Amino acid sequence: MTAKRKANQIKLVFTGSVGAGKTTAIGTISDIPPVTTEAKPSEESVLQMKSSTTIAMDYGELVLLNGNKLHLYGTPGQRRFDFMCPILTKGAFGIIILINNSLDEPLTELDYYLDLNATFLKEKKAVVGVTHYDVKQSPSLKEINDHLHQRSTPWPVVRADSRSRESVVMLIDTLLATLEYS
Amino acid sequence: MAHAHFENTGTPLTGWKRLVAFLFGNAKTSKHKNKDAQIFAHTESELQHQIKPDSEDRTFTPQQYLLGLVQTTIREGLTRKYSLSGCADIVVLPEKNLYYSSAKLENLKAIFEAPADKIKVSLIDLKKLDNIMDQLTTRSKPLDDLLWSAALYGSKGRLLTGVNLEEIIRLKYWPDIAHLPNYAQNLPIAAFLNGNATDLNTVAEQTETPLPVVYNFYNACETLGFLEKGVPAHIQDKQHAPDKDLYNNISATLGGVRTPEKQQ
Repeated sequence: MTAKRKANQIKLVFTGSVGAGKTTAIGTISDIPPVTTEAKPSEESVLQMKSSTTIAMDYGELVLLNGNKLHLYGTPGQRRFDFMCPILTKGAFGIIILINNSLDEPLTELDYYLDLNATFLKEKKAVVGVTHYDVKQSPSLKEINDHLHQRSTPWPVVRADSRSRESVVMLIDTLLATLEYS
Repeated sequence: MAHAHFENTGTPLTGWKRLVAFLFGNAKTSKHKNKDAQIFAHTESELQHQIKPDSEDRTFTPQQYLLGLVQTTIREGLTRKYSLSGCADIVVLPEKNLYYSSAKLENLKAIFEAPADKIKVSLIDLKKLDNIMDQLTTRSKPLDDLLWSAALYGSKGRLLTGVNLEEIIRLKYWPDIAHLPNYAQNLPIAAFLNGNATDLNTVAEQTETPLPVVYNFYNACETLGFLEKGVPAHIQDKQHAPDKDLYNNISATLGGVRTPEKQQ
């Protein structure tokens, strides 16, 4: 692929906490079996949650009605691979930040990924997808909204289930509406 | 143990079916007839609101619809059932911040739009529900979802009484619209008001949404306290023109809200 074509890629990136469903979300809407780079986690906190996790990136693609390709990328959950984040988000039209609400500190996780993508978000938009909300409703959606407002980053907050195509499409529709109208 | 039965089938009822029958009056054992009688003994004819329908009003007064009835129930902290002929019943559990209905919110439109004096209101003695409360709570949904939908449908394109059309507003909370009725219509309004502070006419213009739809959305947000009002007007400068063709293409490919048939 030439550098010019790469620069014109239509890219959407799923980022966020470990176990939030980034790999699953890509697999839910991708036309091809997602390319994953899974390995046994090296970070103890991650190992306690998952037997394998993304180490470099996930990749999927969707052929649009006009024949163009939408490239779907997922960032690694382990923090030692955070350097991949700006590489993957470069040129993306937006990001979907997935937060696993069943973790101990979902708001801290949210802060982490907002800070990690702060440069990208100076010019681009995001949507926050809250997964595992059926497992734990604390913090509530209102509390997450409040938290984002306090940070002056009032991105839309949507309950999400990465296993559900309808739910992933809702996240993308919300991002597209934010890009067009916000 | 006595089994409740559906009237026509004679099939023994267990678990959740039994609970539904118990709550909504299909249980036919003598034991349950008695229990029904005890629980629904307080049919609140005295609570039926002596309100004239406002079908000719140009503004929306919640007290004249289910929304007002539910708001009263929440203030009083009582558990009540709402019934309208031809529509599924709704049980409101203010203590749990939940409601229960066997129907989806979209299918409760008739009761949301009905004048309050056509809705039968029954008081449910919470103590009598103790033994089934766990099951009831499990099958119930957030009360905010009911309030949102009652406001959205009850408004019928009219703005809440007393609202200043020129007031500058913006969203304080992103409503859970993805899981609520009229998502496709409400999404552009929510997105616009999430990033901009302006009046309702401007919202309608900028999102190319009919004003009555904007009013319905406003009323639902206002009912749940999702709006900031009286803020300085602010419309964000866009660094790049939105690539509408791309957004439409992505959404339509995925069968999202921009799919032509979903926009009708």
